[in-house]
Order: sequence, then C-alpha cells, then structure tokens
Amino acid sequence: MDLVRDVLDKQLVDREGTPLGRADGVVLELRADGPPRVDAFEAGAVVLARRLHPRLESLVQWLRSRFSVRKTARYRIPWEKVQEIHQQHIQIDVRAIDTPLYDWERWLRRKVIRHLPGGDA
Amino acid sequence: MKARKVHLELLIGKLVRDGDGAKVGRIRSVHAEKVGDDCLVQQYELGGAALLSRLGISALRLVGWPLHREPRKIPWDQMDLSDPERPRLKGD
Repeated sequence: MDLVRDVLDKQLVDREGTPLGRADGVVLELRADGPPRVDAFEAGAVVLARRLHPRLESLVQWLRSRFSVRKTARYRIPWEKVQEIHQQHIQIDVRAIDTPLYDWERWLRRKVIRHLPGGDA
Repeated sequence: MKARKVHLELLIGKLVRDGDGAKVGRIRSVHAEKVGDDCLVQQYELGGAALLSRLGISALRLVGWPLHREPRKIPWDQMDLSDPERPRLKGD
C-alpha cells in the first residue's frame, strides 16, 4: 500500500458510509525495535494548512479559535479504528454524528435549520 | 523510551542526504504493509521517477522515449528520521 497515493487525502467515511472528511495527515510512530507504524490519521483545516506553511497553520488556528464552532483543531483517528481501506475511501469504526467533525452540522441544525419551516421535524 | 511521532504529509518532498551529506533524492512515496493489526512502513521511494510512478506516469508515456528508471527504494531500516526536517540514510 502506498501511504501517499492510497491513504493521504483519501475520503473518510464512518461505519454507515457517512462522509467524515479527508485524511489530511498520517501520523507515523518511529520505534527503536522495528519499522515505523501508522499510528493515526488526522483531519481538519489546521492539519491541511500545516502542509502548506507553518504560518498558514497559525493563521488557520487563530481563525478557528475565533470563529469556528468546532471544539478541536484536529481530529485524530487511531489506526485501530480503521475498518477497511477501499480504493475510493477509508472506512472508520465511528459514527460521524459522534465526532467533532460534525460540530458545524450540529450548530447549523441548532441555530439555523430548526428555525426554518419544517426544520424541527 | 517514548516513541517519536512524525507526520507523513510533512515528510513528502523532503530531501534525503547520505552520511557524507550528498543529495540522494526527495521522498515521494512511502510503502507500508498490514502486519497483523498494525500497518508497518516497509520502504521509502525517492526521486522524480518515484513521483511519476505514483502518478501512474512513466517517462516512456510522457515523452515517448524508451527510458526506464526505477525510483530509488530505501528500506525502512536505512532511513534515519530522527530529524524529520533533514532525513538521512543510515550507514555509508
């Protein structure tokens, strides 16, 4: 498996197939007694920004802390939660609604959608 | 001893040098294998040929020239990532 081609930037989905975002980062654990192992995936705008430039990471971090409803800057998914790596996506053993990646959806539902006609259905 | 963590996405494109400081190539791909419950890195691929290989392009298809260069493959135990900003080959 090529971690860059087959894992990095691949779509993440939960156990029901609901999109979670993309694998913006892959964390490797360096070990003294064996090959490096994949420790976790990371998702989030801050992770993506870091790939471009450290200053951009700081800016995105600041913007997130000021304006975002998401509680965490980066969501880390341990390797143990990976169920399957498909050609188009990576299936994770979580429920999307239970992750911080859905903080914006929850906020929209609470602050906007429920005030619309039929929105509290 | 606490295991060190490095970010794969920040390794990509980093220039690898050998023990004498000579340039070897840039990290373009990292190959891993599932071993039991773990996913373990097996080798790193360096150089432009590795990038082309990752994109599914061969020099042959690109320019119609019968050149064929394999990307340089470095086994995991020959790569020193103690400084992820400056990866080096171990040994000679």
